Amino acid sequence: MVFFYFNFLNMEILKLESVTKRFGNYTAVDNISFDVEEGIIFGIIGPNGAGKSTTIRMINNIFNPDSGEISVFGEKIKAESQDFMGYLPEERGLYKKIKVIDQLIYFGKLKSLTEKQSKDAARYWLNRLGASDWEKKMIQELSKGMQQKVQFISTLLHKPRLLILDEPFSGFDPINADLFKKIVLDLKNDGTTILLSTHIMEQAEQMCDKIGLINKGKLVLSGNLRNIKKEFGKDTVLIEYEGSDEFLNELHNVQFINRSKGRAEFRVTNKEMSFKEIIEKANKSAEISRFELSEPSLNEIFIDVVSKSGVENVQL
Amino acid sequence: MSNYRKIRTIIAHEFLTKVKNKWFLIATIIGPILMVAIFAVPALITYFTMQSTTQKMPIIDLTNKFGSEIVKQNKEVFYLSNLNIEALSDSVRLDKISSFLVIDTNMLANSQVKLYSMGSGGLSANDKILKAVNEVRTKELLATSGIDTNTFANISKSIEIKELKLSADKNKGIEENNSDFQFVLAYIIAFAIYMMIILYGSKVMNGVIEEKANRIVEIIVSSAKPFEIMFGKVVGIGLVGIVQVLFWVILVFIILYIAAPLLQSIGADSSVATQMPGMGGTDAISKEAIETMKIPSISPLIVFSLFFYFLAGYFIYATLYAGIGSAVDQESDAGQISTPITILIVVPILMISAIVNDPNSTMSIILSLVPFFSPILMLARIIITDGVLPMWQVILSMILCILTFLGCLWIAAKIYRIGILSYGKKPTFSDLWKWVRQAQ
Repeated sequence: MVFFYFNFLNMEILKLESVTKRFGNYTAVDNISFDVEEGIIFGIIGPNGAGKSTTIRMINNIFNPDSGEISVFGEKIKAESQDFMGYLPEERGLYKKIKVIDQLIYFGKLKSLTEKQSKDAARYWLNRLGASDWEKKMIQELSKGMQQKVQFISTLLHKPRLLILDEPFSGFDPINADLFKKIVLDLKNDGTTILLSTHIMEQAEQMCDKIGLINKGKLVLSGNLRNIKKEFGKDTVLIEYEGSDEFLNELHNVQFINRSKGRAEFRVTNKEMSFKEIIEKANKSAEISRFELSEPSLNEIFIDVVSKSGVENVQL
Repeated sequence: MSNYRKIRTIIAHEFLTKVKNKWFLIATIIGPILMVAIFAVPALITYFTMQSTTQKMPIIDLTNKFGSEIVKQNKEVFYLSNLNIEALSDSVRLDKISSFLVIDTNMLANSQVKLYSMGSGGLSANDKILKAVNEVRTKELLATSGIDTNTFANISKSIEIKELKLSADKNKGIEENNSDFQFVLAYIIAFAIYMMIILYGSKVMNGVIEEKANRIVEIIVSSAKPFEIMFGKVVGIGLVGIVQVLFWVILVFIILYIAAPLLQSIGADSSVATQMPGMGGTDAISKEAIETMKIPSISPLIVFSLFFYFLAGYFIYATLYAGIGSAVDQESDAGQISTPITILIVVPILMISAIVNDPNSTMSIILSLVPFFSPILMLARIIITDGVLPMWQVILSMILCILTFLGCLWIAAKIYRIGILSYGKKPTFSDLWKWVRQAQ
């Protein structure tokens, strides 16, 4: 019984095995493999043009991989899988001249809901987002923020088991972005698995349980976010001081992240150098007002991994 | 393979959003009124300008005979003038009158009258003069040569061909052939199908472009297969077309069977009243035309082919338009790349008169068998021959149309699959071909 429960928790809802996609001579996704367990938030992270959207389109059964295999819910992906997935594309839009409710009903029905189920779900979400009054309005009459709410609702109508959000918070205004973040976390608590892509590392850091870093079509790092950070250790120093910054120039084997008057943030690349040494050097010419050790940000980790040539796929 | 429920959802969506649109209602109702107006307005304008020749035309009659006879019969148009040519010429120059007519003493010998004006008086004025002068001239010539007026009327009547149609069934008897009606019908139907293909084809194309430009399509392809989306769109908009056409067909039948008989009775009365005692003028012909304007029975084959070729034409071209629409980012880019399709639709329209004039020539047979032309040309042949043509040609063309539709659907679906998510570059034909080969 316990064993069964354990298995259920760790069931892979999504599995990519050596997935490759080419467009002509260009390899957009190159031999990518990763698993996503049920109930977590998985972040696909990487710069623009890394191959995130192509990967996501393959998971959505919009593109077929040239080689490799994608499985969702324990079986090879097929057209019917789409009914259990919700998808918010990076480039998104709505019918300008169709009423909000009709539009939502249509999207729901395309996910195999009945007219009534679709309508009920649409009303539920419009109500939850405080948008019930717009039901009969056309999209072109709504403000950008309102349109974003309708857009977001359109991916949730059919209670997807796997919700896929491509750059979900880009283009959304900050208030909506916060609102949607909360909803995403609520959905996670209700058992929905969420796959999101972003090029903003802070966002991924805030939300994701697991991440996959993609660069130039290749998966360069994947695993549990906590473990990844732990692995890199507390090698980042934040120092605030009064006096001369001369001591900073004496520090070798450090990588500056930020450096301004009276404040510096850097990573120590030489593990031999102790933090005590740094403090001693600083004390000679300045007075330290703050000294903090922390794990590197995801951004730093990403730069680190990408710049280390030869590192193909780090599993943590 | 395909999910019929989703296709049905897409069809219903396309159909309802188009039909619920107020512009659809306006076009459906105003459309026929506009069509009638296009034909009726020029006719009405001609009619009224002919009625409203306000200025009477002076005649200088040097024969002292014909002039008064002309005036006697056309009091509203002409009057005799006592002035000479110089005086009337001055009046023309001063714009008091626009023209005047001079009948010389040797009018009979020369078969000529002179019309003085500063510009042309227009064809209708000339017609009136010719008719009036000819009438008195003929009367005079007949009188001098001693020929009876009735005899002459008989002689001058032209022979008409009464066409009788033999039916394949001996017992069926002989029907009257109404080739004029078929001629007109073939033209009208051909143009109607041409218009519908262009109209609804571009509707499909614009619908595809709209979904692509508004970035809705990616949400839809994450819910249904590209083929289902495209096919649903083509069928949904096709249904809109069928509803519109059915509405118009019913309207036409109402006009023909309820309004026309009413008009006929009015027309018959007035034509009797306006008939002139002349030599069988145009009025008599129009009366005859109205009386014989019976709607000939239309054979089931024609009705069936009408529906078949309308649908075949629409489906062949709409799928192609959908493919093109998916390849471009905005409507303004579509013009160039859709030109070959437009040419395919226009060619049969350019050929239609040749086909109608000789529906059974080798060229007609070959052209009407080309599936891209069949919806217009084969249908025109069927109508013009009243369904009497080798059946193998009809069946072959229908099979070719169906195969062509399937081929177009196959190609368009492949272009669509890749096209809808390709933005930025305006594709060339070699790109499209690459997409067809690329798609699994």
